[in-house]
Amino acid sequence: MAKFEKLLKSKIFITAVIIVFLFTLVSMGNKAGLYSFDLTGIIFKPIQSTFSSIANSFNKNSDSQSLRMENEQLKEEIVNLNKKISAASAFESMQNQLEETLQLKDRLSNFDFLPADIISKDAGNWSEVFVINKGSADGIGKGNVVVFGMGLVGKIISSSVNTSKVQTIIDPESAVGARITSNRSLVEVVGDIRYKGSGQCLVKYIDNDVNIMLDEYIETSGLEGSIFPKGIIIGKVVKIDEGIVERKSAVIQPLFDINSLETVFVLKEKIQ
Amino acid sequence: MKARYLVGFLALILLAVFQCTVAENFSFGSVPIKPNFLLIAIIMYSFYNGYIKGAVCGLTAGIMQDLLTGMNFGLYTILGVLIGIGVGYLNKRFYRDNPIFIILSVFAGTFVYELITGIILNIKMLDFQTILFGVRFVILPEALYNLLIAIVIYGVLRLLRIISKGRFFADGRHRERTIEWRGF
Repeated sequence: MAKFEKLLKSKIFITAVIIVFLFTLVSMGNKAGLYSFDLTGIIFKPIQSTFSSIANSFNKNSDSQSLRMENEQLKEEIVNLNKKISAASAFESMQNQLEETLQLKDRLSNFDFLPADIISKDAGNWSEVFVINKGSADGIGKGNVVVFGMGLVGKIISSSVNTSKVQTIIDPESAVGARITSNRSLVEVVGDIRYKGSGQCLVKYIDNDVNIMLDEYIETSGLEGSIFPKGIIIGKVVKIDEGIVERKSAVIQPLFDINSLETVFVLKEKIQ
Repeated sequence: MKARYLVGFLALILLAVFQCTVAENFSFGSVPIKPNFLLIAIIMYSFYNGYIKGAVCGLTAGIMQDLLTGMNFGLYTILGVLIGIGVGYLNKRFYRDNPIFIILSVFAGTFVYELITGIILNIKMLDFQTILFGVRFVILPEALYNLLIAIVIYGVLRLLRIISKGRFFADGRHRERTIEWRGF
């Protein structure tokens, strides 16, 4: 036992001496030291590099995780900001339309403007009629004119107690007496199945000698017998068909997309 | 028996409201075309249940459509009845289990229905160009759209019938012959 302890002690002692010797060589910086450093490098480098790569991978993982999280947060933020921007622009356009409606209201001072929501649309593909949530109980009925912003939407064709059907100006059965704003020539604006899909309507009966140009406004004529008050804008000319034998015709684009309207205003004549 | 008719009536009301509100979201194309779910219901029901029940179904659906959005009251009612009777007659002539007949009935029924509707609604300025445009951009796309939806509805109904082993249509004989799945 004592012999073993002695041997153990001597081995420990020898090992300790060797280690000290190696460190001494390394610290001395001579050639032998460098060789010994290379030797320790050969032994320890793979272990070191393994451990350091493991440590790096941990770091990288945590880095990429934080980057991914940041990326997702930023993406979410972008989506939220886009939503806010679109809501703000919708709000702005709605505000503009309401301001225009107020301008129209100032011009048509003998009418009350009754706001109404569109609650259902036409079931088929041929006509362009919608239903609003105001009816005879609100004092409106057949023949009342419907507007939005500065422009004409259509007219009420029938009413129940709390709903009314509105025939829009792009409906193929619709016809409105109109004028070309610039030269006051009388024309007729009708709905046409060919232009209904794009929310446009047709201007008919333009005399061949009448000068009509693109971007000109067409407005209601308000002639006696017409239910539409004078001067409501119907739309802007976007295409002209020159007539050779027949009279000219033109396509007009209303001031807003009639197919995507949600709210309208019904004109109700003020009781004097 | 009466409860079934009541359920059918309520289903038609729901379908009519759906057609006037949600169906708008199914529209596509430069001339936006939406499918006519009410018409599909009339045609499929009439095909399986004969012209009397088909006429009643067409009448009910037509009245609802007229009440909800129609401009000239009675137009959709009359057309609904006519389509119900017309398609109902077909069920005597064709083998009703063959899906091709029901699908083609939806196509042909839609074509005829929309052609008459288009002519009546555009009567003021009816010319060859308008009819041609209507056939090309309104009638044919809608007939095809309805046909595709009819295929889906037919598949779902067959599947449901297999699952429940019950009958979905009024005709008792039909039940015996359509228990097993034939597919398309």
